[in-house]
Amino acid sequence: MTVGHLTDAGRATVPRVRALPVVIVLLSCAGPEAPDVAVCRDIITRVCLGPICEPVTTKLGVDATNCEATLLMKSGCGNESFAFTTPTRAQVLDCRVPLLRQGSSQKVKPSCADVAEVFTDCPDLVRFLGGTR
Amino acid sequence: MRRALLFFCAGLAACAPIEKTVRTERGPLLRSFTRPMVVEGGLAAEVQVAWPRLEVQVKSSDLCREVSVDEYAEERITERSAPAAGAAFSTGVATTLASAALFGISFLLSNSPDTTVIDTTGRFGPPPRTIMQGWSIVALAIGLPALAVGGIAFLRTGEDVEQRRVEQETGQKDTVCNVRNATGAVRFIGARGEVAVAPLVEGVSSVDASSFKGAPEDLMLADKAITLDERGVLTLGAFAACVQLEAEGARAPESLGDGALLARVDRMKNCRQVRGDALAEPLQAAEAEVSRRRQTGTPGAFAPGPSVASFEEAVSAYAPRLTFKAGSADLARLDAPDTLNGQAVFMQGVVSSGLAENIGVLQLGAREVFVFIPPRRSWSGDFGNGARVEAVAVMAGWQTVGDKTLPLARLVWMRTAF
Repeated sequence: MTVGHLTDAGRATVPRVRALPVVIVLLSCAGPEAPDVAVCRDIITRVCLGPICEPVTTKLGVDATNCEATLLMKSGCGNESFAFTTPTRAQVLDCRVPLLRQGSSQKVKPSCADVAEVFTDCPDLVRFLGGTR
Repeated sequence: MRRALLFFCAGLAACAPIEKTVRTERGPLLRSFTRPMVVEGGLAAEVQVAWPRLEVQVKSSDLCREVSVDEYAEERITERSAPAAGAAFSTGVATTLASAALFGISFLLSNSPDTTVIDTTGRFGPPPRTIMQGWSIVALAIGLPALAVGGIAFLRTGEDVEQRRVEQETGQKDTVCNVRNATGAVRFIGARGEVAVAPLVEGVSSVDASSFKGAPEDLMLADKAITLDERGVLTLGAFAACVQLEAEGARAPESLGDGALLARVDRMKNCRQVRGDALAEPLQAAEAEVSRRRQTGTPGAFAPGPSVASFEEAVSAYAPRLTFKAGSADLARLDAPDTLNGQAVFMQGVVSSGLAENIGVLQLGAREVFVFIPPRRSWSGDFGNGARVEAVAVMAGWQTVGDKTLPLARLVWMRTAF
């Protein structure tokens, strides 16, 4: 018998009992993991909130009238069964962080400087959205 | 886990301060009784003199004491209160109930996540039910400790009554008891320490006067003082005077100075109490010499110095360095005239009385001195009571005439003045 593999049922349940309130409090701050298609659409929605920033027009070749529909089509996020391959989900989430600086709600438009930062730091994401480097 | 719970409870108890008040209430009188006890007594002696032997009988005794005691019932009441208990308990109850209410209400809310929000880790926003349950836990975390603090404080409040009996001494009566012969050796103590030691045989000690190295003043047995009654003190004092006279030997009264002569007369009078008529004749001779000196002065004791023919000559020849008159600072020196013996002084005062043919009293401000007028004086004049005079004199210690003892000044010259 080694430490960490205690078979005493009473002792083994103690950490779980102690951690329960903490877990509940932490869970109250976050919900379940969002599917890849939801993350992808969240990025497109934020990028296409008008008025459209200059880097979106120049790098992705879209305008306010066709931005969201074009990007959904080019990225494949229009399909409900979409899943990230290249870039990976982790890379996309990492690249998305500047877009949340103004607020986590999808109704809040990111600043153009933050959009430009995303396009500069994440060329894979630009390619994923059908744009040029 | 149990230890953690113990520390938690101890911490909560520390948060619930208890105020303690103790009061004592005297109850009814239960009984009165006397408590006998024996305490260490002392030593007492009886003294008898059969000259030249001194006999001392020493008895030791105890002190039998009866202490009167009243016994009462008494209640010692300890009251413990916690002023903060109510507030803590009510806060705990309210917050815990609020927590329960929040938890219950949470099941009425949606359990679907907030899909309008995706955080940086890729998670949706929490469901409203989870948020409500989180607040419920926060309220419970505040409510339960407050409830525990209040509950512990309530449990610790209360009143303890301790009943006991107390005694109060209301009086005591002491009687001498267990009187018995003392054993050991009696120590006779004089002015300069032990002067004789004599063993006790069946409580009695007999000592010959020749055994004493000095006059005894007190008696001791080992380190304990022996008490003498008033008669015993007088008898021991008389015996001590006889011992001193024996030590001085037979001396002609004429050969003694004034002080020594008067002291010898006192000792003889004292010693006569135990030796009786054996001292009658020498006492009579000494008293006659004292009487003669009062009339004519001490033979050969007149101030040595040059004969003078006037007051000015007296001042010049004797050069007095001290001045005794009203307001003079030198008057304080009259407190110790023994230190002035042989010193020439200048005096200015008022004749207040003439006690004998050649002794009078001169008033110097608030002070008085005896002045001795030599039988063969060079000046003339009659200085009655109230006469204002000035004089040159030589100081000669203390002088006792009748019941009055004053500094004595032997006149060199006196004249009427101021």
